[in-house]
Amino acid sequence: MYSGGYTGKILRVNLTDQTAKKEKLSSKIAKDFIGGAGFGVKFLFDEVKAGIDPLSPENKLIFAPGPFTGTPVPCTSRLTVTAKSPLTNLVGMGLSGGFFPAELKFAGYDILIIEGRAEKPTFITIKDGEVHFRDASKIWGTQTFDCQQIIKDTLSDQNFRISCIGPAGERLSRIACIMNERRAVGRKGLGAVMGSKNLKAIAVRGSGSLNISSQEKFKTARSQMLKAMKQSPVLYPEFSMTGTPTNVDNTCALGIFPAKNWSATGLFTPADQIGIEALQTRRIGKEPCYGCPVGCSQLRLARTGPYAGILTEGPEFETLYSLGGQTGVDDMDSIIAADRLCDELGLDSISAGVTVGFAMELFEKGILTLADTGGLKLNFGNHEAMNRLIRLIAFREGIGSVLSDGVKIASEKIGKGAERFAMHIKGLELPGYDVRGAKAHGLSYATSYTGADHNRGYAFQEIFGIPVPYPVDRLSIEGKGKLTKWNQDVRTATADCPTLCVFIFDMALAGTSLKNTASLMEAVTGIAFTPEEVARVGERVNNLARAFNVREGVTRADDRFPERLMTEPLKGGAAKGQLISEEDLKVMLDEYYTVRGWDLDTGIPSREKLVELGLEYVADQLGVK
Amino acid sequence: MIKVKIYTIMELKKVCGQREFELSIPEGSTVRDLLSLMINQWGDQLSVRLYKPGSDSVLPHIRLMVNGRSIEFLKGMETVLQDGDEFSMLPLVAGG
Ligand code: SF4
Repeated sequence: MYSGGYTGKILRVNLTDQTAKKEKLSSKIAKDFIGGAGFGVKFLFDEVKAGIDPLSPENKLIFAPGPFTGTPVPCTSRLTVTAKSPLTNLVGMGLSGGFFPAELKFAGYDILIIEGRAEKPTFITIKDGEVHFRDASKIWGTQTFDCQQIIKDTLSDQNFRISCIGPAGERLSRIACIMNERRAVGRKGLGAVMGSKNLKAIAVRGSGSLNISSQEKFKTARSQMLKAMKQSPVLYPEFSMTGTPTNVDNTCALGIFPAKNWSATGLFTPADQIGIEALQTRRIGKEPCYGCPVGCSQLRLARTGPYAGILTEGPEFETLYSLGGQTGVDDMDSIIAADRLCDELGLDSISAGVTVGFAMELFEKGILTLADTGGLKLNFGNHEAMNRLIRLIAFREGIGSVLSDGVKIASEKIGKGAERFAMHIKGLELPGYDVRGAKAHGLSYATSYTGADHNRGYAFQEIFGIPVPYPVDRLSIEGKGKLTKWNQDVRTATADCPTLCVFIFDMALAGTSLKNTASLMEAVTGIAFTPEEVARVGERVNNLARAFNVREGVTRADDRFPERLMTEPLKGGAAKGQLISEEDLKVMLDEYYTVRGWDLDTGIPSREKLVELGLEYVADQLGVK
Repeated sequence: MIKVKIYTIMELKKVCGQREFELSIPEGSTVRDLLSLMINQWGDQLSVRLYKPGSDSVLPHIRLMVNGRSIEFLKGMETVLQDGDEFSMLPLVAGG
């Protein structure tokens, strides 16, 4: 039984009948799944039936911080939100930081499960043990920052922490996000799931604190972690002053900063215009997550032209890709404005930017015309058109109504060969690394349980050159199956489950993360873990998530890339000539399935593997022999 | 003489003054030769950011690449450079 870290309670809120129940968190689930992504996947598989419409009341939204969240383990105010994604129809999971995750723990909950659908716009307040369903008709239609402020004012308490949706989520845009403060649970259209439930916001306030099982063990484990963070060559002072945009410089140098809908990677490399030096001229401060001594989140202010005076948190590397490289826009202030706009309207800035870039290529190729776009000249680089189009997408107006559900659905509606230019895997728009020049990173996109997701198995060996667990040649396909399994399992178990900020994992703890998590788990929760058992949790979560997707019909045929990445070699830059051919993909997938213990033809986990992971009931449900 | 393109980022870019530039080096030069030539030009400012103190082994967080491939997967410091090669010096950055 656990004796710290966890609050021991699950809060189950049903919007249909407006009830709130408290349930106990079993120690078996705590040991088998740790928290965060583990809890999300476990409850999603067990409670959401195959084949449901993700925008129906049968879908559930599972908010799960981890056992470290709210404790003095640094950089752990993180949570996952899990649901069946309306964008991929598979496991949908988003991660976010800020203060909301810790506040949920202080209010007394390890997991918040939202079920059903409210009859009319509603927001819920959770104040320790009290849950109230409130009328949201007056705030329906507000942008996310106004929404949060109005709720705080209405409740006469500025200390509530709020997750909410904007106009995009209300209109069920499948690329809508959930915002808390300036942070997004960005990807997979979870904002639309919230909108489909008529749920505008969740406001949380807690006054509790968390027990630490063994103060003595905790002191040692925590100081080892802090020491590793101090020894990192980049966390302090660099990362704490810059945040993620330095990766624009890095990926441009590697020739993998995707450009112009992935048609000009290596040719359009705007590191001087939107790389770190340029961005620092707009920096005015920072806004760290709760309990984070690093504080990578930077506030930046647009200073020129029509955008002057617009403030955003970021733009992060991914946004500089999606609203910059991908759209051919190298005007920094317009990207700051577009980033802010996505946050206000509640759109995932990655999917939104990829969708804008997709529309731009269609426009340049004549597949979309001025008549289709309502007069918008959607050429690459047109930042005014980009900002205008984002608004149309969020409000489903004009051409925005076609684009509001992301590139896969848009390409099917548009036809005329548009599918070839839709850059997604399993429906999720591609994040910011042209994986033709980073093969394991690519294999992770192809096999991740959430579609093209950089968070599921980030190949920091290839992107940053970190030699853990061993040095890796980014351009080779050799050994990438085994490496991808390691990246997915270890990251899941040591970052997404406990829940620890991935940047700390990548930059300071990668080599010791299994040990670090095992010692902290024992110290904080009192549950004994070996490093191997921690890794096992990662493997269990990845297999269970795969099983959810298999139940939804995923097979080996879905684990692939857009045709462009498999047939068009990179045209310039340091990865010139690279692609991932059909044969490359086959070799990597064969190795990956083999090390995973999945069937080579179907990609379905074997009974033997599922039983070994304690998931026999899953094997029974899937009917695997 | 042959020409190689040098690509740098972050603090190494600051030392060299440019993100991308060309250098002429004798035919048959290795990565080691190129680095000594560069250190002749930029002195201690460059060497302290490239090498472990008092040695000629490269700092673990500096990635050296020829045509986009880390030199440890080529012939390391003995990798021979060809006319038109791109040589990158990339310090570790963070955040994805
Ligand atoms: S490093 Fe950045 S994202 Fe991570 S916890 Fe700190 S402020 Fe939040």
